[in-house]
Amino acid sequence: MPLSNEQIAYIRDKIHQEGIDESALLNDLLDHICCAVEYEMSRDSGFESALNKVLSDFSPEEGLGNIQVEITTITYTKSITMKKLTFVLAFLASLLFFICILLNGVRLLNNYDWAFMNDLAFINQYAFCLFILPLYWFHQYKLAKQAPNDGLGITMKLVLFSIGFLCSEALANAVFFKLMHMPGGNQLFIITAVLGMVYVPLFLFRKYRLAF
Amino acid sequence: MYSKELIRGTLKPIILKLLAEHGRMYGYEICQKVKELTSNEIIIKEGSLYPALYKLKAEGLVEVESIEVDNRTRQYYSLTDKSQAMAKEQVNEFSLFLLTMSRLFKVSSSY
Repeated sequence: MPLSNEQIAYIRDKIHQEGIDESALLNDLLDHICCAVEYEMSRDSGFESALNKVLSDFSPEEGLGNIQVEITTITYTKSITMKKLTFVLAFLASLLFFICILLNGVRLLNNYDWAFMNDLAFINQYAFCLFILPLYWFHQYKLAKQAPNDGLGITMKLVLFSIGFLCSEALANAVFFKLMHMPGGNQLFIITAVLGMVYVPLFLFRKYRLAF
Repeated sequence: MYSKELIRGTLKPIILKLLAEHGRMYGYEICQKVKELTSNEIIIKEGSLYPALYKLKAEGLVEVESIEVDNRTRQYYSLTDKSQAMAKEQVNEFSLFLLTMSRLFKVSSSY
């Protein structure tokens, strides 16, 4: 007997909770699990017990999320060159960032009136805010999506990492604005504090759920 | 029942052969067919099947057709026109490989 719409929706939610959000794979797994549940139910099992049996047989040691990780790797094999290029650029941008900080630390930037230093500081800031930080937070979000037992849904994870991203952007710009004696630094510190007060409890809640 | 590693290595020719014989199949159907044809000796787990199917899709060897069945979307996999000959070639190559392996192991077992 085919499953009802409610039962299908329930299974879809279960799959979603495992971190599957790629629609083609979601359809494949949903149909696969539904077929297996229907078969179990035809052997006089109730829906819940049939579903539990199917899910426990279903890649028990790795979980469904692992299938998506593997499929994502397969799908994006062609973009490996792009990924390598991204890592090289991220490395160069980070290097530039830390060299600038070092030069600033040893007061080299202040002692010599090099014309390009101002431009370098801005390029460095753009690279950090528009490249390194988005890359870092996106990577953290992708990792978090694969961790199903942290008590946060996909939307909540997106909200958490977006707030974290905005908070780090605000902090990076606040420090830069202060260093460059530009107006708006204090306001950016206030924004950082407000975002931080939202981000930190959510972050710690997630860590707590992952730990216990 | 054979080990997961052994099955993973042979999954591609198994899928290609089934699709060449049956035209189009969906994931659950492939698992059940393999189970039935091998009298439960080979059980393909979903964690191995779908990565293998998506790899074949990425290589352009299979194509997908989505059809609404019992209020859900079923994805049927079939060989692409250009892959029919290639699939046959790969299945033949694998059959020859099995023959060679069986020869090799018969020789080894005589020692």
